[in-house]
Amino acid sequence: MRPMTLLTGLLLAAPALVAQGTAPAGAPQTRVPSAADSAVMRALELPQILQRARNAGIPDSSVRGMIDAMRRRGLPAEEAIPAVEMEVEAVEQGASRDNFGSFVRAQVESGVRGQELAARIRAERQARGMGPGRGEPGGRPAGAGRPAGAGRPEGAGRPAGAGRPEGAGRPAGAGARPAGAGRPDSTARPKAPATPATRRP
Amino acid sequence: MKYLALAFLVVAAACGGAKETPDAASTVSADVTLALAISAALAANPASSDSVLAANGLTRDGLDSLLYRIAADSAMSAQYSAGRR
Repeated sequence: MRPMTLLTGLLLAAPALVAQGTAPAGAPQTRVPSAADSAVMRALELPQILQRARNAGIPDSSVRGMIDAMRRRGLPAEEAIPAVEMEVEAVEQGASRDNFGSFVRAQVESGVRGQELAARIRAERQARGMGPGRGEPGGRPAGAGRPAGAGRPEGAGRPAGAGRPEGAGRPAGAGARPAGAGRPDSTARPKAPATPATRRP
Repeated sequence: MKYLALAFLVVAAACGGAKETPDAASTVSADVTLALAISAALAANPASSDSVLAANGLTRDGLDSLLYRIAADSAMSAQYSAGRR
């Protein structure tokens, strides 16, 4: 009977002992990463993004040229990343490799930094028809990028001449709306008194 | 003595020491090793970048220099990328 009592006592006390023993080590971190912490974490991605550029077929000399320009100007790594990432994405999406780094170099050489650089990158992304970058509103979260080496392999694009054959488009006049086939007058938008020209034909 | 030597060999093989030659281990650059150590330490404690950098003898600018140096070298970049995966 006595061993049973001891065993039961041990079993009952075990969870409490385990909790007591692990609480300090397993306790959740109370400190939230600061902006500086996040910047360091982001900076650590720089070599990976430039490796992604090499994997996308960008010559090593172009990659090094861009790095040299950024280093010379003392651009912090975390500020360089969005610009470099945009250039890499553009090449991955089919942009010419010859232009790789031209935007970044131009901005860096003209001394653009910080928020202004971020704003120009956003504008350039829009101009190129690219989505928002990581960490931007509506963009992918930081760290959610394509892994290095996951780009399209060299020469994996559509073969030359594989497009639509000449003359295979819609025949002339096939898309035209026949006369009188528009919206019936009864469903037309009411005529605005001041702007009569808004009514559709 | 013979058994002691045999035991040592078994332990070494079990730990993978027999597979990895010293040459293969030494090809990983010291810069890459340092950057990966910082990366691992920050992954474990994301809110302690200052102390992690200090513990590795680096400032914020020093870390940038290290990362630019790795990024400029294709071999080091490949090692670093493989280590971060």
